[in-house]
Amino acid sequence: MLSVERNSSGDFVLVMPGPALAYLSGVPTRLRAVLRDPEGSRAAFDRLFPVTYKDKEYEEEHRKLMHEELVQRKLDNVDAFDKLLKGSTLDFTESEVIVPGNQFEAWLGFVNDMRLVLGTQLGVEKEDWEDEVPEDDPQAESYFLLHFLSILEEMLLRATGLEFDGHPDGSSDQ
Amino acid sequence: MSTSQNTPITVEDPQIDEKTRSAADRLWSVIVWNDPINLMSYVTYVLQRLFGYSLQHATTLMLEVHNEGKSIVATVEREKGEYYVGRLHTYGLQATLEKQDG
Repeated sequence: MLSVERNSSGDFVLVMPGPALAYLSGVPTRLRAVLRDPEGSRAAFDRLFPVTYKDKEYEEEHRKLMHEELVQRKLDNVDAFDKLLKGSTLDFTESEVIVPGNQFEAWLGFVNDMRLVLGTQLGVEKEDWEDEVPEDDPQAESYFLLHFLSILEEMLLRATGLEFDGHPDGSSDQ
Repeated sequence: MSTSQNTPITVEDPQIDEKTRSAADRLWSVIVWNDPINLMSYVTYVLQRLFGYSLQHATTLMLEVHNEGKSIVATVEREKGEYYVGRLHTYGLQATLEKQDG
C-alpha cells in the first residue's frame, strides 16, 4: 500500500512497503549520474535544462550566467530526497518516510526530474504512453519506475490540499 | 463665464507617448510549452505556486498548454521573465522567454 498524507505540522507522511522504499533508495544515483555526466545521457540532460531563449546569442549569454546554479538546484533536490530515504527505517510491510513541509518542493522536484529523465530515455512522445508498453519490453523496469513515480507524484500533489480537476470552471467529470 | 473652460482639451504629450512605447518594448512573454511527460495536475500546481494563480486560472492556462501546445502564462519585464523561466525550468516545465510583438 502506498499513501501520502499531510499531518497537522505541515509535514508529509509517506507510507509504503519496505521493498518499495528500498527500490526508491536506488533512484537518486540514477539522476545524479545524469546531472554529473551530461554526455552520458545528453537528451535527458537537455530535457532537464531546456533553452530560455530561442535566440542563440541571448541563450548563450543567459546560460553562462545561470546554468551552474540550475544544475546545483537539481543536485540539491537529489540530495534532499536521498538523505530522507536513507534516514528512514525499513519495515517489510509498512515503512514510513516523513518529508518536512519545507523539503516538500525538493522532493517533488526530484520525483518530477526523474520522470523527465526516464520519459526522455524511453522516447515517450505520447501522453497515453502507458497504453502502449509491451509486457516483454526490454526497458520494462524503466517503464515500471516511470509509472510508479507518476503515481507517487500524483499522491504528493493531492496531499498538498490544492485541487486539480482539469476543468477551468471548477467542475469535475468524476 | 466662457464655455471653453468646460471643453475637454487633449494635449499630445510626446514624452508620455514615448514612455508608454518603451515600456511596451520592454515586455516579454513567459511561454510554457506542452510535453508528454509532465502531468496535467503538476503543471496546474506549478502555475498556482509560482504565480499565485487561482485554480481556475491555472487550469485554464494548463489546458491551453495541453490543447494548443503552448500558453503565455505571464507578460513581464525581461529580468522578471528570466526569473520565472528559471523557476519553471527548476520545476521541470519547458518554458521560454520571448519579446512581445509590437
